[in-house]
Amino acid sequence: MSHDLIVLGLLVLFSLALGALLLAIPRLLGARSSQKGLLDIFECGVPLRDGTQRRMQVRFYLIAIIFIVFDVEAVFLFPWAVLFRRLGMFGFIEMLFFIAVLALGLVYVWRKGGLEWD
Amino acid sequence: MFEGLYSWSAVAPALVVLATALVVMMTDLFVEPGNRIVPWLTIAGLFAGLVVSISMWGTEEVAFSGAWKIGAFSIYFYCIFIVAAIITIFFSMSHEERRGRFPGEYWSLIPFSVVGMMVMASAADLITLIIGLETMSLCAYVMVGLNRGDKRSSEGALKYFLLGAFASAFLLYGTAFIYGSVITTRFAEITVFVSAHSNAIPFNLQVGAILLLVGLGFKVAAVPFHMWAPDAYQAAPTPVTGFMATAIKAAGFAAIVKIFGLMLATSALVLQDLIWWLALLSMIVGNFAAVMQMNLKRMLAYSSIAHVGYLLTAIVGSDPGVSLQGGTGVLFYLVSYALMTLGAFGVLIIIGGGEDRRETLVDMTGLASKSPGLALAMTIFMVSMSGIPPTIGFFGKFYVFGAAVQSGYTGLAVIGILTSVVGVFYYLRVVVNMYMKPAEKSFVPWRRSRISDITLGVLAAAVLYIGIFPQSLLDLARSAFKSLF
Amino acid sequence: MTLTGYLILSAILFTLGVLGVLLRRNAIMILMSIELMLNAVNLAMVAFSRFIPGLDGQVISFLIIAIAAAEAAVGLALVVQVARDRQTVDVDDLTLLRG
Repeated sequence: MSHDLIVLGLLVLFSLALGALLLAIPRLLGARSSQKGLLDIFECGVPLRDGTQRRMQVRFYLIAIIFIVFDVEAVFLFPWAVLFRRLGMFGFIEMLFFIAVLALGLVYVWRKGGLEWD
Repeated sequence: MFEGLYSWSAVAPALVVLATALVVMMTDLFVEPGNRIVPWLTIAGLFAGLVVSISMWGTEEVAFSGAWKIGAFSIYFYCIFIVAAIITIFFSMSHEERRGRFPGEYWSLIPFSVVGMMVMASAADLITLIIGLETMSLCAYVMVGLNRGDKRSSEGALKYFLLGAFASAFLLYGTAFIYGSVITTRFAEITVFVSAHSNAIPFNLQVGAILLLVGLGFKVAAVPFHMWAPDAYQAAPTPVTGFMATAIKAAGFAAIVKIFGLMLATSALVLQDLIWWLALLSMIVGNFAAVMQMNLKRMLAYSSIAHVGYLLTAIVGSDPGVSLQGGTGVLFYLVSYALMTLGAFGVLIIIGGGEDRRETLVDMTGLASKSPGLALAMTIFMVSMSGIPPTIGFFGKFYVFGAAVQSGYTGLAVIGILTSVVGVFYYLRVVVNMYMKPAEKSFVPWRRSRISDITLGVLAAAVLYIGIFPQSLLDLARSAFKSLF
Repeated sequence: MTLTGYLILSAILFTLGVLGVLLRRNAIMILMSIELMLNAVNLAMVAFSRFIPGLDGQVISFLIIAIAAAEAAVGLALVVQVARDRQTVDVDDLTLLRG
């Protein structure tokens, strides 16, 4: 086993131990209470009125669609990054071109008001 | 490992059109809506793309590790796409004058979809082809839905989208199976593989080929995969319908010729029988359904299904090793079909009024006395579509049916000729309505635009000229098809 | 697991997608079924690529993911437009175009 792996193993053990310790201390020292109110929302947030599966504002759909398109294009960056050195200058220019086209798309969305909230 | 990886010259025409699309899209953002500079800029860019394409005629180049091949075949199709797009823009400008403005995106969607088609025409790899097809189709779905405020337009677009995306999934699944059995998606290697295994085609390849046929059948609207076509054609703004019927159909056939006319053209696959049935059903259903239609856009939609049937007769059993006639016939027919269909839709755009949609058979009555030039042009296009000499449509049919006879499918050719007789009935019914019936509706006089008049005149002249001297176009088509192998 | 196993799984997924497109009436559900079909294709591609030389299949599946995203974006936009026009996304209610 290499030196690095030992260090990594120690780090994992240490963090597990720390986590367990932090959970154990209040359990040993703190007062127990099993009131239902403890599970409710406290200070931040209003009480829930209905379930989470309710209708969403339709405004979200536009943002979501724009997000999907731009997000998925990132998939092409990963294989490109892996082969970056072997692809050389051509690969670099090609990817700059690709990103430039995406940027034009962003300019389009921006100017058309697709990013405005109201 | 990466030799032959890239070549700018091989993609130059497509890059010019892509740059056009991007520049137009950006320009539209920064000028006030409705500025005429946007369509003219599109035309200028497309024209530049056309010039670059034509200047490359005669060169042949393989690039991107064999995924891209530009040659006479691609350039032949580039010219069809770009010319159809330019004519569509001319018509769109006159369509706008009475139907209100298109949103600014429209002008960039056309070159974007042309880029997709160009990728299809020069793809030498199944995946490249499908990416091109998707680029083209996504633009088309949006363009069909551009009649904002018209409920029918969004309905047609949604139907077109759902069936188109369904078809893409079939195409991709077919590609997966072909990839699995051949280990590659390059056309050249698949062709070699198929001919090496012609006595024992692997099951996966067989399945993949059938799935590809289903997918492409949907895309070109061959019966029984045609349900979307009449709805989408009717829903779309009329210039978009013309564009769909010509450029998009031509791109679909560029793919079909490459895949079924060449790569998988072997009797070892069960495909030949299936294509035979597609051709037969398309001709019969298309022609007989067209007879029932009162709406001319729907009629032309069914007639385009029938034309798909005629085109497929030339693909059935065409073995490019024996004869070039099948592929050449298809290429010739696509040009003839593009010219006359664009013309017919052009006439519909001009008579289609403002608020009232004048696109039915009744609206054509009495056109000859109101506007003799327009009626004459429509007559030429209708005569050509029914395949009567001396028009380009006659030679188109002559070559595709000739190819079917030559490859031993005489029965199919006979059925084709019989069903085109049905076609004569409904095409000439339009002419009868224009010349022999008094106007049933009182027209609001329409404003004519010089651009669309000139375009129509040029189209009609081309239909007649090539109808009398078809040889040079036929030679072009033959050398284009020959460049594929 | 053998190649056949993966292919059978992918065929089942693809068939479920086809059935969804044919039987579901809600446009959104049809769209999701189409996405399922594309994911079946991805599974087949990756499985083939695992069992035959070369990595083409895995690269192709990236491209298919991008295609699926682009289709979803355009499709959802069209569905929203129809929903605004008609207050329904049931494809059986879309009957203005007939003939």
